[in-house]
Amino acid sequence: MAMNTPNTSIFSYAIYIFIASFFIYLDFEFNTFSKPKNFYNSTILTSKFIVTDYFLDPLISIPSNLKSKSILKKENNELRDQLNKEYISKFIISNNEGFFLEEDQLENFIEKEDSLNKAIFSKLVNFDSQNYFCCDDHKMSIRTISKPEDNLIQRPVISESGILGQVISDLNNIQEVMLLSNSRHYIPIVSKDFYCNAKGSGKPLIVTCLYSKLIWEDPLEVGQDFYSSGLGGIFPVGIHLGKVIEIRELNEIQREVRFKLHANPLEHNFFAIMVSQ
Amino acid sequence: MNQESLTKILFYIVIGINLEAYINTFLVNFLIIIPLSFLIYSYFVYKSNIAFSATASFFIGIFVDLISGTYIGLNALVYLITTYIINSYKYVFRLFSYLQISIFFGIIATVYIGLTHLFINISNYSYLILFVSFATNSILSFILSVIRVYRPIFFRNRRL
Repeated sequence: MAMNTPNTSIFSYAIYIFIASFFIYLDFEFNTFSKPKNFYNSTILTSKFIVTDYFLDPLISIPSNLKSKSILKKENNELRDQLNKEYISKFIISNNEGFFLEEDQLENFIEKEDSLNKAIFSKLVNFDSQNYFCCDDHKMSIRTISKPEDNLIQRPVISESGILGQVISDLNNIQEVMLLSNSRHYIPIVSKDFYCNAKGSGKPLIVTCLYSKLIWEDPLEVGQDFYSSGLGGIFPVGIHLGKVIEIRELNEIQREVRFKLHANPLEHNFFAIMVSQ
Repeated sequence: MNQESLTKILFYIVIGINLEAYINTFLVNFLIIIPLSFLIYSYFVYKSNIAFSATASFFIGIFVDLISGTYIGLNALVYLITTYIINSYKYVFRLFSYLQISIFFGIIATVYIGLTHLFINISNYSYLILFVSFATNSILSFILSVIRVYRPIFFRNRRL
């Protein structure tokens, strides 16, 4: 019996290839599909969270509940959360000089909950490890412990060891965080007299800067510390970010400096979103 | 393509994407990337008796874009091109040996990695990764085809 010839009409393929290319252009240039993507991601993460919190965890904890360990377990979790909060608070206090836009607000931060400067504590819900190691789109998703009233978009996210990135979307109480090493991310930095906008390299923990030798002759050396400069008002001033690891000559005029970030997003599950008004 | 087979393909692709997330995180240290979801899709197109339509491959691609978080249209574009090539040479493949077909799968997997990395990893684009991935994907395809031919009688009887 004769077999059907596969449908290889070039016209239908050409039309769909054109549509797909147009979609890529829209998404790449204008982020047109960011809303449906964020909606999808937040829905998946929220449902995962609900399933874990309301179905899986209670099921898993049945044996321990029977043994009356649940109270102990709850206390343990609360203490762990409190300890994580203390670590982050300690980091903020030790970096108080210039951490907030209004520097005298530190006392308010520690003592009052209605302070203008707040650290909104959050937990990790998803880390895209595949993209983190393979590609240059470095992101993670976090979820605030309490529902925040403030707008969290663009706010810096810190862990107990430093700045990790900034919030780029907030949907259903799940915040997507663009990490400093994301190739689309820039952070203004300073090292002695040298200022630049460090761009994420797309490699874990690495950010880079380009500078002209005509402007700065020899401003940096390997091992030198660098800090956030606070330019632009998004990130706090003077936070230690890491060290210079390599300086490369690109051509007769330009040099590229590679910095290694101090704060590793893989080491923490607990974060704080900084809100300073 | 009927509803059942489409659901089956999507199910396997979702499993492939989840496996990729674990495997490639480890393999990328050795400059290897195995696009499992894409290989699964290509295998279904290759094995399908009725040809995949452009519409089906476009929407499967869009679905993969959505769940994998890449630019919308990127997987759709590669899936469309792959479907067209495989459909065009569907009967020509029967003349080739398993080794040749495995090399073909290795090549399209490499093209997939190359094209997707042009968009999602342009800062660290590496030809070495492409070359090593080509060799790995060809070998993996060949091993899978050999396993399929020489599978144990138990599985063959159960049509697995």
